[in-house]
Amino acid sequence: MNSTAFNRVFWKDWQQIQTPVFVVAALLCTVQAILIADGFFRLNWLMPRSMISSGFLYKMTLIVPFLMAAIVAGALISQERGRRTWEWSSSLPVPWYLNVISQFVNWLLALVITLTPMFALASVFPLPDIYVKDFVNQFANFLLIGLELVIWLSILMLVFKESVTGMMLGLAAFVFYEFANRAFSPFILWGDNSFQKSPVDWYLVQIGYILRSTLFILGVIVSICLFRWRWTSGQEYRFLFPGLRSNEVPGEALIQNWNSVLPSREQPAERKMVLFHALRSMASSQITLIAIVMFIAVLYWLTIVRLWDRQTAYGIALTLLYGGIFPTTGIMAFSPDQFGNRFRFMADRGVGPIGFAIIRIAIALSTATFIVLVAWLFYGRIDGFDHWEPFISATDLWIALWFPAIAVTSLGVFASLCFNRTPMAFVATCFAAGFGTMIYLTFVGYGNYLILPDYYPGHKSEYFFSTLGSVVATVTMMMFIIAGVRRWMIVDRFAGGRWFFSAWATVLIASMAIVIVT
Amino acid sequence: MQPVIEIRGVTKRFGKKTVLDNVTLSVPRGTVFGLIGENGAGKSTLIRGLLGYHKFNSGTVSVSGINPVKAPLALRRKTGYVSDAPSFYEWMKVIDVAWYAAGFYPDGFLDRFCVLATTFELPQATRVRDLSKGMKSKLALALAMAFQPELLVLDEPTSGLDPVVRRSFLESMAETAAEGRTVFISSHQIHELERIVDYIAILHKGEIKFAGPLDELKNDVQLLSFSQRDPLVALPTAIDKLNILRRQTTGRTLAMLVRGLTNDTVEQLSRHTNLFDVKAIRPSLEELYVGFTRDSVVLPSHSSSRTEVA
Repeated sequence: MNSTAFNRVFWKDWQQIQTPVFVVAALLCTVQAILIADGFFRLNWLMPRSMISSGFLYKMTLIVPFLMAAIVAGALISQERGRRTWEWSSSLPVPWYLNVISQFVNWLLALVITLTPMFALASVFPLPDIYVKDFVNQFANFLLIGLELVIWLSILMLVFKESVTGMMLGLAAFVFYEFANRAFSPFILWGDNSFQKSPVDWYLVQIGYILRSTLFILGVIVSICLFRWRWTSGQEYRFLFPGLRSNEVPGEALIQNWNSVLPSREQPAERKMVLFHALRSMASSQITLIAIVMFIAVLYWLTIVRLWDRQTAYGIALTLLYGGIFPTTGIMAFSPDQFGNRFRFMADRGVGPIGFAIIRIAIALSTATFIVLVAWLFYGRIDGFDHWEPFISATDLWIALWFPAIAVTSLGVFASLCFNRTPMAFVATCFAAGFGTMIYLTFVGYGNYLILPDYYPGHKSEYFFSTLGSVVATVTMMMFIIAGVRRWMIVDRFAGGRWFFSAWATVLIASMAIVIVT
Repeated sequence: MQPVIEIRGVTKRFGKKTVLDNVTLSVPRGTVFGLIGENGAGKSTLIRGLLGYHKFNSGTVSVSGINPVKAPLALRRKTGYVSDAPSFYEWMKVIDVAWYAAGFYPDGFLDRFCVLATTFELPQATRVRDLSKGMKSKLALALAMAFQPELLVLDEPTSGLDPVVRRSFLESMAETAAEGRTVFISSHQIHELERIVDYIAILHKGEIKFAGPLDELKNDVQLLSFSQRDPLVALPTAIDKLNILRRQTTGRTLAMLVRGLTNDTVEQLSRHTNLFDVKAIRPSLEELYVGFTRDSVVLPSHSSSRTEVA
């Protein structure tokens, strides 16, 4: 291996991921530090450590492999393909395998950089026994799942030319794989529960592990072969709908193409026609999103009875909805038009920013509402009442699902205005939604604690306060969107949006510190 | 002399669509070779195949004695390539891009790049995202030329360049060829190609319509036009003996691209009682191109200052 060549490839890859990696690491370390400070204060006041805080710390540590997987795969494969930088790189005399090795090393490095300070900080105040008990097993499993996610994302991003399509279908394929894995291989269990079964079961567990490992290795081989093929063939092959649009658009950019207004053979010339085209094209992409959700919902419905750990499955389903589908629904409002300044096409034809924004927002919120309906029917009716005791009626459950969904979708819409890079918009939405929810719930929790001494998480007053928070968040987002869309479309592409988000993140973290101090 | 590029009977299909059909080309060393053709003619497919990005369905290709599909890396060490829409890492500075690329080539790449960057007036400390389209084209050219490749393959290289730099670039291509290296240019800028190319190939719907020295093409093919007093009268038999490539009738005027037209034939036509305004001129490359690729002929302009054969 030529070390100079490898060093250059590694340098190039690292430069592309270092900012998000350090940002993620810094944010997680900040959260850890705040939780530790929280524990320190509680210790001084002889108060028990907050179970919410400990649980958050624990979950954050497990979520990191997923986050790193998405960031690395998104930045190193989808971004390079989407921006066509791979074409130039692959025209240089650099072997394809150097790139594969470099990407893998970068993934490991990103993981180490993020986890090391987190573990160091967490060791100051160890986790409660309830979490420590199975932590190593759980972490190893989540690391393996993180690697599986890398493989799925890589495969789909290599197949599809455009980042959002590849990422969404990669996530859908990954979820399908995980559900199928658990539904059709009931003996592949996590943790030490599997070893409490009979010797026959133990052997079946081993067979299950071997099967899963085999599938993983097969996935690695497929992704490497795809990588090699894409690298050496110059990215030109199309898979879906060739000739659907004009030559300017990659044929396989399934969702992003549909969602964008572009000069094409059927180029609408008048303002109303442009608006209609915007409506129709976005509807197509949202239907695709709904189809993915319904597919997963049906899968959930079919497999849930076979899962021994229904609570985990329910948690994964909700996390997928609120951490993946709703942010994406929102982001699909404006993000595709950011690519190549496509929004200028509409602005040049006299489309007003407010009218355009209303159409896009209405479609995004309608989609979110429909998805909530699906979730309510498939997830909520099955498990919602079991897990959320305060709900006494189906309406409560509907409201509990719908308001946060609208808030997260609105946040996604706003992020798609602020960031011209889709992965950044996605990460920003998830972080803002996650931190915002956590801090708000903490405030509500303290409020409840003061008002109701017998407060416990999940109390109905908390549920109503949470709904109120979602309403406030939605209204605020709508105001920001209406204020920002004109700057975005006509003035300066809303250049200050990303700084607005950064300031917001700072405020969120500061609020968290204030919560602890008070 | 061994040609740098040798293409024999190459065919490429995408599904049922035949993009290249039995293409045969030979590019001599130390020349500037121009490939022209309309959008979708198969130029980029041919170039990508030459660089080993895909296999052809049939036929053989040799570039600098290398099979591009079997040894693409060896080929890329000898070949500089500029695509029609080069995309660099936007977060890199110009000098970073060069430093990154230098890692894959022998020593001296960076020094030569700096010289070229100075020639092209490229700001080395500027990030790629802040470069104009023309500057990005210059960067692509500087990178492709910095390792002094045996063969330069340029796909629409001058798009986005201002006229001064374009002229300077074209002159540098001629100088490159004079140094014994080969330049293979695919372009729509036919006027510019006409000034610098030694050899030309016209690709139309996947088929080579002409391939050979430009002078041969321009000397061999002429644009003949005349008007008829009575269109119902049969044309002289001399017309039937011509090798007509394209023919167009507009009212009473006929224009045709013909091969092997002699002065005697023109004289004979001029004396014909039914014909008048008989002209035979050497067409420009653009007129030849239109003639080969369209079912129409560009009628010669009366104000044309070009040489009339007769």
